[in-house]
Amino acid sequence: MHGWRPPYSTHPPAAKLLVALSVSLFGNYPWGWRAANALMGTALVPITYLLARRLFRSKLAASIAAALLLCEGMFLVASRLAMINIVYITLGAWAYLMLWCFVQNPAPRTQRIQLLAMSLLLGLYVSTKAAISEVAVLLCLIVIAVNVVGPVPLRPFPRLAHLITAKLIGACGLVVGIVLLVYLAVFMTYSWVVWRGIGDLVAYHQRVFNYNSGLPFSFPNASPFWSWPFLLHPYAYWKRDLLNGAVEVIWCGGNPLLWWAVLPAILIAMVRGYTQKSMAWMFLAAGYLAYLAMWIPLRRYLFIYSYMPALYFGLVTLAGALEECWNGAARRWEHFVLLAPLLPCLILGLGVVWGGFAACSISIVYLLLRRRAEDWEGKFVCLIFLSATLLVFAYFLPLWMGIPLSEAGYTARMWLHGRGLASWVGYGAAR
Amino acid sequence: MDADLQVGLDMAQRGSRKLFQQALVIAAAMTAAIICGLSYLADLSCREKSASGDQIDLLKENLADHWSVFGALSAAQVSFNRINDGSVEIRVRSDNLSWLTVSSGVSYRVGLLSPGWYEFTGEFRADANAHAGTGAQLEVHSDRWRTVFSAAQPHGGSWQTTNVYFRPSYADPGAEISCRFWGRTGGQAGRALLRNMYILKIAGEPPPKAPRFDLAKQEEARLGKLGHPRNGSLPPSPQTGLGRFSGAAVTVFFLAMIVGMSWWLLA
Repeated sequence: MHGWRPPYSTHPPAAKLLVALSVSLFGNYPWGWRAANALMGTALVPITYLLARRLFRSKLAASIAAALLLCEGMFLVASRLAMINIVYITLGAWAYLMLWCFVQNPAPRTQRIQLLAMSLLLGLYVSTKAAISEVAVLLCLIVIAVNVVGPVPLRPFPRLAHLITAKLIGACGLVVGIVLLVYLAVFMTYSWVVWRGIGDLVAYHQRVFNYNSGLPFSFPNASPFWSWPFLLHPYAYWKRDLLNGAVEVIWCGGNPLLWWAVLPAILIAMVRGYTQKSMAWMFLAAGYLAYLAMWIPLRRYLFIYSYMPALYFGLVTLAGALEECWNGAARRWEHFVLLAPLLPCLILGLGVVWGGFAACSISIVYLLLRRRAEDWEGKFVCLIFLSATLLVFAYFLPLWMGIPLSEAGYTARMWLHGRGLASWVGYGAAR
Repeated sequence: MDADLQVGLDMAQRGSRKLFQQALVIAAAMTAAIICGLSYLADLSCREKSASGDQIDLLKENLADHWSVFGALSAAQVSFNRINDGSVEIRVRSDNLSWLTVSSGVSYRVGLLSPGWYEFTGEFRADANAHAGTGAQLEVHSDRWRTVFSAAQPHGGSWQTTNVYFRPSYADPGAEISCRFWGRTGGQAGRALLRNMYILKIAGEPPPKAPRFDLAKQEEARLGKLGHPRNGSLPPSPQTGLGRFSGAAVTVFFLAMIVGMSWWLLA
């Protein structure tokens, strides 16, 4: 904004431009640095509500999704820092919302507008984060293709097949064209001062590719992608050990109950997607798996916050599974797998005796309800899960907000503290 | 009658479901409000620090609330004691072996200074024992700059007065005063004394012969002057034959054609 020559970064510049805009509007102070991301993080809550309402056609599922998102610490931390993560998550969620508006819209005239809006948002997403954003574009293109082609057998109707092919090419062309246009516009804005031609873009991408190819596999606080769903290796973004014994920390970790419940929720989504031929469940399961599978070919070090896009899909899926429980549409094995993550939380949080006692009490109440009031067993699962989520959130909140904790309080919250990968303490504050 | 009862039950069920949904929405809104409130409170201390007056006393009353430990030390291994002459004694004891390999000490972080010159003054004394390999030093950090003011001295050495002027960079407008210890394991591993330690905001330039570190100027030398085009690290590529914007224009035209044709196909 001051005509500075832009610094090099391996990630595209849209989120950095947003922070720069925030600084120019609110001033070069912490509040100014963080305001834009706080707004993006706040916007994610209603967007998630609307997306879940579209996917599950239920206000209850939408409310649960929004509540789960509010209780997830990693999203909270990302909304309080001037980092790029919350920006691309919000843009992605908004793009998915427009995608489902497009899918569920019966009027072809307005479909084009929705596709246009989705493409613009995807373009900004691609302009914010490399690699992860391409998964979103691919996912959207697949959903569009499935939606356009539909279940109609085409062979007997060659004219219809021709129309559908034209529509498919049109939709994909529109998405890809606009995404690239937005990307080019953002990149040119950022590097306006040093822009010498389209070769800059090629040189930049070569440099990004070479840089990433040369990165080592291990790094302090890095963790392999398969460990993320189990929350094995979160770490402190920042930590201060005050002499009064208090510990202040900004923790790059999530709500353990939600993280551990996401895997069963994805299992439920896969089963429901297959058995019910439900596009919404399939979309959520595919999104989650795609955001994890994309890391398989990469041989560089990775950090746990890269799990956020998959986690987002997981949280929305979890909300849908809990809503099914509340409405009595969930089967018993679904109740069981959704309650299972409570056990490690109770044992690690309360100790073997009290945790075991609480787990037994919950099991007994569930079994009693199953025998005497069958309608209530699913509601019970939903209520217990949501209450536990809120309690775990409140317990871990100081770690996400940098609220001073006693040394004992901090240690008590570090549920895993082994010497290997399963450690929540992370790399020390040594320098 | 049964049908009426069923309708009534359905309505009651729908009503309770609606109530639950509303309760969830209210709970979500309240959670958001609580988070905002707590965020505000958590940030308040930083805002006070940045807005505090022109002088920061590093040895004011509640030392333990401002000084933190780093490296292999824990808070329990460090004690701050006030001595009658107004000085503060730092004693370090350490029993773990990592103390010998990890750089450790205590520090005071001053965050978010406003643009301009600051003076750091302080008096420092540390015990050193060459035989035991113990010692300590005082350091001032700001951005990428670090200066060591006083090396360790033999036990009973005199006070050393340190005085330096620095102008923080725009990108990292903070400072950190550290007392770094090295030594042995078991028992008392280090001892240092601090006195009259202040960071003062000064009006105008520092005295001509005083030691000064202009980090804002260094930043300008590295990146260019604030408000003017600055040097970045984005590599300029060789100019293509198409000129500065013609390549981009051709690309935009080509992409716009794809978008236009797609739009038409969708119609």
